[in-house]
Formats: sequence, structure tokens, C-alpha cells
Amino acid sequence: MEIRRKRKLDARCTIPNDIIFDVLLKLPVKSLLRFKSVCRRWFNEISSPYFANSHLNQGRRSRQLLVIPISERSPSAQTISFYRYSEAENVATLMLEKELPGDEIVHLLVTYCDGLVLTFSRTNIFLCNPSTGELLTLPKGNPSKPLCEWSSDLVGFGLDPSTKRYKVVRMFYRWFDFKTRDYSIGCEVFEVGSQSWRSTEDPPFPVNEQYPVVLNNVLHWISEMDLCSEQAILTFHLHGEKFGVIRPPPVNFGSISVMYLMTDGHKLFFVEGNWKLNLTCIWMLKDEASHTWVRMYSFRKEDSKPYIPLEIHGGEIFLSTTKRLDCYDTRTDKTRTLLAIPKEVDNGSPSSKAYMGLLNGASSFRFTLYAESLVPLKDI
Amino acid sequence: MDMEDDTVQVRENSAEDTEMLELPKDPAEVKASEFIKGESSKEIPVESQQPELPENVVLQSLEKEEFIIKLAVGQQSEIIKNAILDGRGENPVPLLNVSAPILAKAIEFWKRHIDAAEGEDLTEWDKAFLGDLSQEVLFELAAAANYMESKSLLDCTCKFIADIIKEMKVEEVRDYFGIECDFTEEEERKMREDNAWAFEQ
Repeated sequence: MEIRRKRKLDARCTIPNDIIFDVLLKLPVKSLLRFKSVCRRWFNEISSPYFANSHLNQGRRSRQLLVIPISERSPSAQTISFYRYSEAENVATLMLEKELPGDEIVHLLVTYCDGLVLTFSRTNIFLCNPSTGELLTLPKGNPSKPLCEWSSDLVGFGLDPSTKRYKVVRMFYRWFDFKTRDYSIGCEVFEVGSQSWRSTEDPPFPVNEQYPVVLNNVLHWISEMDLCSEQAILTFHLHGEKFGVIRPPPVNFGSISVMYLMTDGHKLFFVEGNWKLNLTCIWMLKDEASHTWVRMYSFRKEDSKPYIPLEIHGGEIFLSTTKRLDCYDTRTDKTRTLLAIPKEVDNGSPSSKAYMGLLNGASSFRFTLYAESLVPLKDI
Repeated sequence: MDMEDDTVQVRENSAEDTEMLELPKDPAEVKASEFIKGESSKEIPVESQQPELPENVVLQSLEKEEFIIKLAVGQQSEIIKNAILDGRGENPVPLLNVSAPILAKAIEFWKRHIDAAEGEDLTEWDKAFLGDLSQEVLFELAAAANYMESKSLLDCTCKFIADIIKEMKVEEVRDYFGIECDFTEEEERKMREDNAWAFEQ
């Protein structure tokens, strides 16, 4: 693009500062970090929390996918790579490759909030901002007895709206007994910017290992079926750090295969899956105060493989397995594949544009819907 | 610039609008889209008793040059829309910060967007339209969009400028906007170090 020589001190060629702000909002994080060096005004603008917040909100509107390929070839891989995938352009770009400290096997479960990614291995929890490249290793919290050999940590994170600090919330079992359904479970919070975990009140009941859903600065988990006689949804308010309970929808817990929580940013959804019948039902929490649920969708997928629902957005539901990411459109009752490990594509699925070079060596991958963020992990 | 359309084109629920309804919107945005749909909005206070809105709006540029446009075209600017609601639509709406050639460009943009068929993607047209402009006119158009509070035009021009500068080096950005660097060499060097990866190609 031709860069025209500007006439110095020509008022008509200068751009008002309001416009600069709007232009900056539309730039990717990589450009913004570079442009901090343009001049002091731009440095101050880009570094301001107000700008970071506006930029994040604008980013939410254009969904991208964050893809983390996992290679079986090196199971003790200590590097995590983040790719950004844009469906519109069918292009994946490597955002960041990071070495995780420590030498344990990386578990790589991922949960995400506001452009920050929480990932954890057997012994460590990491918070990462793939846009800026920062990685934070959290200090060790209280030890937890794992429920079984492949248990992972019960962790979630979100933003405390009044202090504007991100908090990681972790629950741990002091002990439990499956036979008597007895347990002692505690909870602690780590505030980003602080040095250590802080205990909070004990949760009223244990939750299952799926990452919680964050909605309106409240974390939501589903109860752990093996330890609870009745199922419910546990909530944790990030500001007051208090637990609450929401009655679940009228689901037959005895017959379902899986259940998940999901959100579209405004409402809470409960997904019940029955793999035997290949039936999925999605409920929406219509009114939180009265715990009223409404059944919104029910569908059968074309292939009956189990999956995890990631997010719902405008009638489209993102469903992922570790090998594929599909999008089910509730309006047309059609599923399209967005991404897949190459050999998965040969099952005759119509949209094989999902093949990407980056997935060639991978045995599985993790996804999350993503918006870029300037949120700093170090000094808040 | 073609001025022969007689009918006011009103956009019905396009897919885009449905999508927009899902997102948290600021009140101004909601009002604009509802207005364009042609509903008689109950939220807008009508002070005078006149139930009808004028078919045309007269806009007056900095040089007092007048432009006559259809109602729907002008509604893409909050300033013009508010002027209509205040019952001043018949009299020229003064846009004293906008020169005639720039106003003409803005009108051309609004007209094309109002005339768009349902679900039509105007990205290519927008790029061609803005790509034809000199940098000076582009900046003035962005400033005018800001002044006239036209979100569609502002978003479009800002995105276009952002795309121009996205891959630029820091020096090129300064050059483009005519910005003087007020950092010391030492400060600049340190910033480059801290964010080294952002400076990689």
C-alpha cells in the first residue's frame, strides 16, 4: 500500500484522537503491542484498562477459535502451542508456543475466560494469555485426594467485577468415601497479582470435573453424581466468594449419559446427552430466581459419537470431541464440521475443508472459542 | 451519484439484524435499527402532534451547500435522525463541520447501504469505495462519521484504516499519521525488547 508523504502541520491531514481510539480497537493484539512505541499518547491509550476492556468486548463479536494440538508422539511434551483459527478464512496461524515449566506430563485441559487460558498438568496450574505471550505458574494450593486415577483439578476462573481482578477458584477433597457418600471438600481462591491462595467457605457439595461455566461473574458447576444423591448446580459468586445452589431442570438423571453446562454469554444452558438414543436436549435457565427451566432444543446428531458442547451462539452450537469440532445449527438441523484430524475427515462428511496441515502430527486437540486480550497477567 | 429512487427503502429483519439482537447492544444502536425497520417507535418522545415524518431531509454542509436525501438514508446518522425527530427535518440540517465533497461521499455510502438487498455482503463494495479515496479524504470522512454519529460509516472507515496500518512498522505508522516520536532512544529500545515477538514478521 502506498504511504503518502504527509504535509507537516497540515490540519486537514491529521486525524482526531477519537478516531485513533476507534482505529486502535480494531487492531489485533500483536500490532497493538508494537504500536505502543509510536508515541507516549498511544502508549498510554493502549496500556489503559479501559482500552483493554473495550478491545476485549469488541473482540467477542468476532469469534475465533483457539486450537491446541496435542501430539501423542511426545506425551511428556512440555510445550503448549496455541493456534488461532478463523473459519471465514480457513486459515490457522500459530499464535504462541510456550514451554511449560516443570517436567511432569502435561494434562492439557483448558478453560478460558476473557482471552486468558487456564491450563493444568498433574501438579501445576498455569494461566496464559496467548495474545501477549505471558504465562503464569500458580503457586501450589492445598493438596487434593484425586477421585480416581485420571482425576483432574476442579478449577475455574473468572473476573471479580468490583475489584477488576481475575480469580482462579479451586476445590479440593480433604477426603471422601464412595460407599457412604461422605466427603470433606474445601475451596480456595488465587487472585491474579497476589502471591498465594486464600481459603473460602467450603462448598455445600462436590462437583464433577468439567470446567465451570462463567456467566455474569458467577461460576457454575454441576454436582458430582457419584457423591451426591440429588443433583444440582453449584454457583460461586466471584465477588462475594459465596456459594449458591440452582435446582437443575427436570431431567431423568438415571438415564442420561452426560450432562454439561453451557452459555451464550447471557443465559445458562443445561445439556443432557443420551448416547444410547443419540438424543441431546438443551434446557435454558429462563429465570434464575425461580429456577425455571425451558427446554429449548432437542436433536439427534448425524453420527452418534459423543461430544462436548462448547458454546451456543445465535442458534449455533459448537460441539467438540478431541478429534473434531462441529457446529450444529438449530435452525436448519444441519451439522457442519469446522476442524478435524485428517483421518477423521474421510468418513464422508461433506465439508472437508477442515483439513489443516497443523493437525497432521496431532493425535487430538483442544478448542475453545476465543477473543484476543490485552489483559496483563503480571502487574494489574 | 444517483438520485432517482423514489421509494424509501426500509430494511426488514435481515440475518444480520437477528444476529445483532443476540448481542448486548448500547441503546443508541437498538434505536437506530428499530427506526430503520419503519416501526413507529414508542420510545422516541414526540413533542408536536404531527404523526408524519418528512419524506426528504435537507442537509447543509460547511459551505452552506444543500443536499436533499431520503429519510431512510439520513437516518444512518444520529445527528440527522435527531434533527428529524425534533421536527426540524424540513429545514436544512446544518452540518457545519463537514465540507461538501465529504458530505457527498457520506451520502453515497449511506445510499449504497440502504439500497442493499437483504443479506447482501457489502464488504467488497466498501473496500473499493474507501480504497478510491486519498488519505486526506479518508481521514476527513472518518472525522465526519464521528461528528455526524454514523456508526456504520465510522466502523467501516476505522476498520479500513486499521487494515492499512496493521502490518506496518512503528516508523511507518508515525509517518502515516504525521506523529512525532516523543520517546528517548533508550526507552524505545527497551520497549522493543519487552515485546520482541510483536516486532517479528
